[in-house]
Amino acid sequence: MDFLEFSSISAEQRGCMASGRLKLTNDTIIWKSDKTGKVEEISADNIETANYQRFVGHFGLRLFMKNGSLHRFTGFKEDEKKLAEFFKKHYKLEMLEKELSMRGWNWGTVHFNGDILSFDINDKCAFEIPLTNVSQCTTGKNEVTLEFHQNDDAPVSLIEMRYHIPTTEA
Amino acid sequence: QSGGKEAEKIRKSTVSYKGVNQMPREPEVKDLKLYVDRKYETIIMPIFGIPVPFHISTIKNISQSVEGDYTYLRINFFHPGATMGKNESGNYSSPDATFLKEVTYRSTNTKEPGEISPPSSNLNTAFRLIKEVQKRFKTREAEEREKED
Repeated sequence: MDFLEFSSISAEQRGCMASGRLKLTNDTIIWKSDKTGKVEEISADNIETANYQRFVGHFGLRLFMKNGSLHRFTGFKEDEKKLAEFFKKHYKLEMLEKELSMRGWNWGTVHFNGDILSFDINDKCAFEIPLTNVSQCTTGKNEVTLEFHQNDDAPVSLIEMRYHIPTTEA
Repeated sequence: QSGGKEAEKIRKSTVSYKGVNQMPREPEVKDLKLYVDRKYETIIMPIFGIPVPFHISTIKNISQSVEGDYTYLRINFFHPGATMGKNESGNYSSPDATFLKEVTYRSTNTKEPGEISPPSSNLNTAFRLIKEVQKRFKTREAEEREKED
């Protein structure tokens, strides 16, 4: 059986990166938390798209699942080719780059896909919110407020976000 | 010709980074804390695992409060319908866009054993530096407007 293993790979969990190890086998992706020992298994058959994303000094793996959920792992060092080849060979998936917007704008377009809200600036994603993190959503005049479940492991946690949605004049 | 020059100036002042390589290699960015990049006049904010840049020109005002064990930092952005400066209104190439209007971060004031400073010190630093960069940016903008007139 072919496999790939990476240490110090963090998984995004409610806005916090939890450190752990990632193992890829012929048909499953397994992430084990360093802190709690908790194991997360992802069946490769359930992956809809796989992307890699560049961050400062490392890159991340983004798995969008057929059920609409999202898994994200970061901390990879220059292994994107090795990882891409593995995905192609065993999972029959092309791992393409999903570029992030670096423009620094606060205006863009909101897209919904599965459980994900994506805020895009000029067709590039600026950030994504897994909607399972939303504890409450309220609307006002031209306004939507999202409140989030808190994660005490995060040094800094996002608790609320407000959007302004202009009235579209017909 | 002057139109092109104008457009270039606007672009220059409102784009944070050309690519991820320009982002600062600071531990705060990787650790998903707030980071104020004074060189590029940009605030990098963690949003669900992604360090997201916001240019200082998008920020209207910020406020900080301490309630019990937590420090809160609220950042308000410019958006249509709010008071906007002469220059900012020209930047909105797409008025139909959705605007991020406000974000609020929370951090604990309690130090864990082994920590030099409490997690909320990150919000305190960000608050101070955002004010500083904003002041410098506004002063420069005012000077440039004066030159034009």
